[in-house]
Amino acid sequence: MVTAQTILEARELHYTYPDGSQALNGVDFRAERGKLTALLGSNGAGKSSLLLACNGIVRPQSGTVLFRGVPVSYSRKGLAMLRRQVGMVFQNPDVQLFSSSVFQDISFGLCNEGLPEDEIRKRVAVAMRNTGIEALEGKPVHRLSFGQKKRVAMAGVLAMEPALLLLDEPTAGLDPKGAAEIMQLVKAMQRQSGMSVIIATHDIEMVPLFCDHVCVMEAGRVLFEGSPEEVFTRRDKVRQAGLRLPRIGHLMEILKEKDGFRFSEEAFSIGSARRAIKEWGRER
Amino acid sequence: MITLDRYTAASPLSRVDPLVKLSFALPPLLLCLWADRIALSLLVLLSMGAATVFAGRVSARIFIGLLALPLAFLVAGAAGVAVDFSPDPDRFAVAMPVGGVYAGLTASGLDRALRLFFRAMGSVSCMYFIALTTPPETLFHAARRLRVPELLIEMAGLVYRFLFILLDSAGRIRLAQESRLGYVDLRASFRSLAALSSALFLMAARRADECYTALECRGYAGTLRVLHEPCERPRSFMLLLAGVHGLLAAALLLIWRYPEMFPW
Repeated sequence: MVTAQTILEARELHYTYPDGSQALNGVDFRAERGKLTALLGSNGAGKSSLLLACNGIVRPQSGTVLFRGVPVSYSRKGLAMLRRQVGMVFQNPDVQLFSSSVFQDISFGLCNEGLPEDEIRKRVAVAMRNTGIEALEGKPVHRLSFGQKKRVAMAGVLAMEPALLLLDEPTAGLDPKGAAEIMQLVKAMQRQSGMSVIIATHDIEMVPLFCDHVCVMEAGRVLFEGSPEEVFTRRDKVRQAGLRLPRIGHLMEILKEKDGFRFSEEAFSIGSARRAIKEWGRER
Repeated sequence: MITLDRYTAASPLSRVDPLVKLSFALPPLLLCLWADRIALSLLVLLSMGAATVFAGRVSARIFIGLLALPLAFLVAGAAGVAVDFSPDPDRFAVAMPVGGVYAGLTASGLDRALRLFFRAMGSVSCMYFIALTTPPETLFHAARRLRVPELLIEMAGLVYRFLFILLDSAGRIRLAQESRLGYVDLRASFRSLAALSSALFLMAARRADECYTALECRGYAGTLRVLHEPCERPRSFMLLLAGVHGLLAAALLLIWRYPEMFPW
């Protein structure tokens, strides 16, 4: 079912890596336009492979990927068209940053699009401002911290103004502040430009705070999906996928089941838990 | 691991057009090599040192410390040139018997050694000026303008970038090995070093794959096309160039006209 709201859809994807490990085993998946969709799963669940299938790097052995309702063409031209609109930020920024100059690296994708020089300079400047890395311009890339490299990598992709942004473990390896800042940045960019975002992650705490829709993956397929509240309400299935509830959700569960609290709504973030507990207090 | 890139990026000259910088540092270098006069070499050394320290804002300690690097080779080389062997002790200014012959210093040998020494130091100082004030990317850009084949420039750029990643990975592996007594004796060291090299090789191969994928994601189609930061030709640097070249030219003229005043 493709609606006008669907930006990317995967149907029945199967993919086995050349070394024989099966990464995708019949994935059905949809990402809504302008929404932040999370692929949640334990290590080896197939999240990264699915992301790579979304911009044509992984070519499934069977099944179809549709971008804006049109099956992806794996011809040279088709892939170039796809990647112009679907940007990907890798988990390890050192993989992505090939130039030792921040400016040059960010300009790379724009040069490949064949944009005029003025436009490139303008867009590089905007991307650097949006990701808060103006101060890094003259620094060599290998002198940057992991978090700074992550921002540079993101700027290089955001500069291309993709309609769909793919993020592989955006918060992994960052300190709590850095992780929160990266996610706030993504959220702000998404609000500003209406960009769609797909995030592969196992950062469970981040999901209820930032994501609109969650697909829980296990063993190369989507186990179940829904809004963060819907997903985390199905505790058994979440645990079956090798995941856990957000800490707050777990606390609320214990309060309810062992201590006789009654809550009218499910809560998985500090804000909603606070609301639920206050309401419970009022009702007493 | 101490690398020069720490200083280049911070230098106020890092944005100056590298071709202008080359035209600043190359003629003095050639002058050192061609004229082979101690006075001129010393002048080049001093002016390049001053340019690096005052205009390039590199601390004098670093510049002098770097000059000490080639010193070991240079002292050994110059000693080889200075010392002569002969059965006749009267040929030498200072001599000592070695076996059946005498080893010693002659005036001409000493002169040759000193000239070699200052000639090398003068030339190295020109190179250091470039190395300490020019980030590699701008050099690559200059090479492109000089029509060096694109392939070579791309390779140089990638090698430069990935050298640091390789060093970093090697350092981490070594640390992990050391913390498990990997270098406790010679036998273990050999084994650990072998394991480290093969791990690095495999890692590099995998990393190359990943990097290619990442490049493809941003529309890589065979050439690494990037935009360069604009470079500048500030008046102050042009004045410096004119000043230093003028000074050297004047010195050269002086030595040429009045050779008896400058025996060295």
